[in-house]
Amino acid sequence: MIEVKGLSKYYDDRPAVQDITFSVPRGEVLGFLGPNGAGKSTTMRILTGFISASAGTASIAGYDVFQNSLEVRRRVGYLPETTPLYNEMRVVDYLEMMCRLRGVAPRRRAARIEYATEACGLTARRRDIIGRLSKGLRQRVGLAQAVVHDPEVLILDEPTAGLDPGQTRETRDLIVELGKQHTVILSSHILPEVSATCERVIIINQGRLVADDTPQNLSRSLSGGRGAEIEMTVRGDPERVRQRVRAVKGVTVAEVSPLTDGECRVRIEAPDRDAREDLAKAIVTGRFGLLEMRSRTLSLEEVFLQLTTEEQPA
Amino acid sequence: MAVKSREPQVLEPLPEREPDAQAGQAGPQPERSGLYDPLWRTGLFNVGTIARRELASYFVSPLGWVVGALLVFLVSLLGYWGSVIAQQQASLDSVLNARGLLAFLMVFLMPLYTMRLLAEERRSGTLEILLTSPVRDWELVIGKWLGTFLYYLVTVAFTLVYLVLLMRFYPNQAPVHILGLSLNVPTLDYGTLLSGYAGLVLLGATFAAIGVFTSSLTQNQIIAAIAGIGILLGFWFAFGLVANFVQPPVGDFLGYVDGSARLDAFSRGQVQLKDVVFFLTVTTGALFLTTRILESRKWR
Repeated sequence: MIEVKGLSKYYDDRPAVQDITFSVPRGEVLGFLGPNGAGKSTTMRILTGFISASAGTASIAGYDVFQNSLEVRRRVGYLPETTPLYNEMRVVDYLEMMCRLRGVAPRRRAARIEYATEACGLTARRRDIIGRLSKGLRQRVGLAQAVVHDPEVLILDEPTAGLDPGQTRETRDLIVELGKQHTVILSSHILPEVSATCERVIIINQGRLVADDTPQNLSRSLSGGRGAEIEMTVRGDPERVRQRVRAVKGVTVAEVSPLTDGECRVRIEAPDRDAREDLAKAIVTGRFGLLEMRSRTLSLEEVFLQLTTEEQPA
Repeated sequence: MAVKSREPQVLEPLPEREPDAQAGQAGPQPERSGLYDPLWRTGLFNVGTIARRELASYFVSPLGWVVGALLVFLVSLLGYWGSVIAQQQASLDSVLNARGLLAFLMVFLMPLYTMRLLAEERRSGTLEILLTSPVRDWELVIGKWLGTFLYYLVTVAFTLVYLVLLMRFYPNQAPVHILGLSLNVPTLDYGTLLSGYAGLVLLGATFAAIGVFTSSLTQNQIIAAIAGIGILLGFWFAFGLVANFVQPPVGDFLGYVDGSARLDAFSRGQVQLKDVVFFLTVTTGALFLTTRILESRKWR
């Protein structure tokens, strides 16, 4: 649905985006992750035809973003970072205008506005003046204008920036809902948001693409090839616990540190096989108390920090 | 369009999305039927939509009312009531004369009408939503210009009230036979009136285009207004003045591009093709430059 090849953009001589390549299949929700100033907005603006790239190509729904900008723009719904809206207009009038500007045939307009307001929970606010709406509601109007012409692709630039936690959740739920109907790219520098809403994540840092995978895979592959890491809390003598778990098949590393009340924390690495069941059995049959066990994967947050703070190739 | 849409697609489902097409292929259009789509593609609908919104926003914004009221008030007071109270002969000179009151006021008021147009869109970021919609840059520019031009026509139309009063109280009436009816009609110089108003229409078009242009240069409305007033002062007064003091090649040129001298012919009842072409050229030139300035965002 979206194909980006070797995309670069320079502002004067300063590179904002360098040689980015990725593609998004139809129906996917893609997260665009990166620290502020990494080039997320620039990439999105290029995809929507607002600015031009310095090099590379991009196409949406088979139409080249530069050659066939109008066709692309007709198929894209875009919400810029600051949610710019006309404050003096009423919600319906605004959506009506956007329908006109995007070539929605007159007989479809009422139904499309109905759909957009309902999907974005604005039915009760249809007649409200946009300037008097709260930040969360404005955000919904922004989303409504992005979907009102039934675009195939939604491009949302930091859709939850500046919202309170409740509004953030509402907006996120709404995006997940919209993701069932549209191909979505959303950008964020907030990690939980991306893991909560996206099937795939692209991480950009200093204008370069540093990772492109599912949130799960990213966490897994970045635990440095060490495979599964397991953490347990066990009641029993630390030294005997260590010997016991060390004997379990597949365990390569077992670190035990004593806690209070005769408990100890056990960290185990078992890269080659899933040792959880054997471990539990070993602890219980060794007559220790198994208090807690969880397999630990790097959170997206750790992945992100690891990727974006690593030294850059010169 | 109505005829076309009554054809068999009554049962068409609403979200007209095609089934999963091969990704990467030039996607088949979501079915957009009838005459609407080809007409929409000309961009004229978008021009209309933008002009309509702009015109409407003059009537919901305090600025539109205040500036409009100021114009009506000043022209009425200084241009019409003044002479009536002083027992002089009332006329529409101040309205129609190229160096009269209305033209003078428009040099200052038109930039106030137009300062908002693109500067505000830029500042608030709504420009980004507009130009990532399938709206071509020129559609936006012409739409903005047209909205302001129409608003200008509305505010200038109030002077027709004085024309009616003038006709009602004009001392010399002569019978005219229209369709077998005999009417007493004041013997005003209708040709001059008509050409004078034609000149006003051209003045509005040109000033509005220059205003749209300066509004595209900046995010700051005040700067846009000041730049607009500056250019219009040059266009309307300074060029003509300076032309008198400068050696021929440059002086001739300045005299040639002096807007008020060009409009003068209209207020004297002469509609000359070269003057019409002059105003239309300045208008299209300013709108063209504005489009280029909007486009330049892409390459910076």
